[in-house]
Amino acid sequence: MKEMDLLEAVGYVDQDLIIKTEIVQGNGRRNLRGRWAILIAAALLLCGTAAAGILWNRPEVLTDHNSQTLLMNQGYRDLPDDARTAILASLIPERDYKAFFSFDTVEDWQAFFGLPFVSSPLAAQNDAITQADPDIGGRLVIEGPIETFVSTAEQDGEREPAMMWSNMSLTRYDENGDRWIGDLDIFAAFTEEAASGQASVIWESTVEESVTDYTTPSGIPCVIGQSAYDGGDRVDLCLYYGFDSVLYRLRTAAHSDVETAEILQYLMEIADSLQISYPAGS
Amino acid sequence: MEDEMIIALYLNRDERAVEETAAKYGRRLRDIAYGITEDRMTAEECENDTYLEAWNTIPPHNPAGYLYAYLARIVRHLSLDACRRRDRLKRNAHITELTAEMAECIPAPDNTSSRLDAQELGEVISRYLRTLNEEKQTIFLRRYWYLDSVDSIAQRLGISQSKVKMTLLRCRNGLKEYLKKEGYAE
Repeated sequence: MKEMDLLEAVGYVDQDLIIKTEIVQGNGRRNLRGRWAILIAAALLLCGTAAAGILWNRPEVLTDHNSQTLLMNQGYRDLPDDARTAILASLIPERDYKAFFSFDTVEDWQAFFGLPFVSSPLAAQNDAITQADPDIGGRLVIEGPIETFVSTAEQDGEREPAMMWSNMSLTRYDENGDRWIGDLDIFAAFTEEAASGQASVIWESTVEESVTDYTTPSGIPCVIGQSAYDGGDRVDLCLYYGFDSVLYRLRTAAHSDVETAEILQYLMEIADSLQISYPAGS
Repeated sequence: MEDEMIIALYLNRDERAVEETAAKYGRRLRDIAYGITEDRMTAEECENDTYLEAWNTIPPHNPAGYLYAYLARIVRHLSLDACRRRDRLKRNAHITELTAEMAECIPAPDNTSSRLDAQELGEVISRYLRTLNEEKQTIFLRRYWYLDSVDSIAQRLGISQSKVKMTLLRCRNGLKEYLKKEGYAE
């Protein structure tokens, strides 16, 4: 099959799907662009209380005139042998020798990578929570699987795990039953080379940024970033924090000054309540 | 003018059909063409060719209830054709990138080609899309039908770029698995 044919094939999807897409585009979707719209994120799971000042490193965010860059200059993690074996057995050559995984729960994710998990008790996993739950107000909920890929690098002719990027979708249900949606990205390096590199370039199309350093009562350093998109109708907001050589990026956005202020306040509440949970058996 | 009336003009061979089509859908069709060809003049050419194609195909076709989708499919096809002609001289980076993403879904393209043509593959993709929720359908189709950029989709839907990218990744992986499961790929 010729290259172009694959894109052409998509052109033959059923008409009603195209119409539906067109309707979504025309009307907007309440959950995606609604009046409360936009993201927020955080993560969950409690357990151990924050051991202040132990084993954490500050995430470093560099800002220039039109982008922000998250640096992974805070050490690297050793992978459990089982995880390394599973990763190397799952590499996809056509995808730059990356391995892709999907975890149903944070516990599964922790068990695989042997990593602690830092989150707020304001968050909860969605197993027992539904939007109709009267106690749901103000809760962050992890929804869907935790999608993860691990990149590899060649060392002495062999592939070795280099960096992990996990992503989970999160939703905040407020007291009125409205939703803010968002996501949480988690980065970890498994080699010194990967740890010294740039994790990602964030916000490529921004016109202004502000970054605020903040240290939580439990001693976990945080960085809150804010970027306005051209046109000014959308502000991206991120809370970065780091613990034990793992970086977290909690992303959200706002469409008004009021919403921006509310979300910034909420991000601060999340930062204030961050706690660390360790994988079972550690 | 309502779609039904425009279609009636086509069916009655009334040339006002083209004028009314252009008035109602011209900008959107041109936007699709420009998004694919990235060239204003080519986009206008594709738009005009779309009207001609519609005039030549309605009748026998009668796209009652989906006129815009019908026109959009035509303009998309013509735009890709324009890119193909142009790409004989110079590769189109955007199309190349999208093609590479889609190629991930086809584990063995050479083998697949012997069993599937584009239309049949399109039907398989439709069935797969129906297993997804509305948000994922929208993101997938905005990317691979309308050929929108990730940033454009994120802004359109009010979600982050990373969410769009991850959703597309999940959709591509899902499509790949679906094709395998349905026996269309190895």
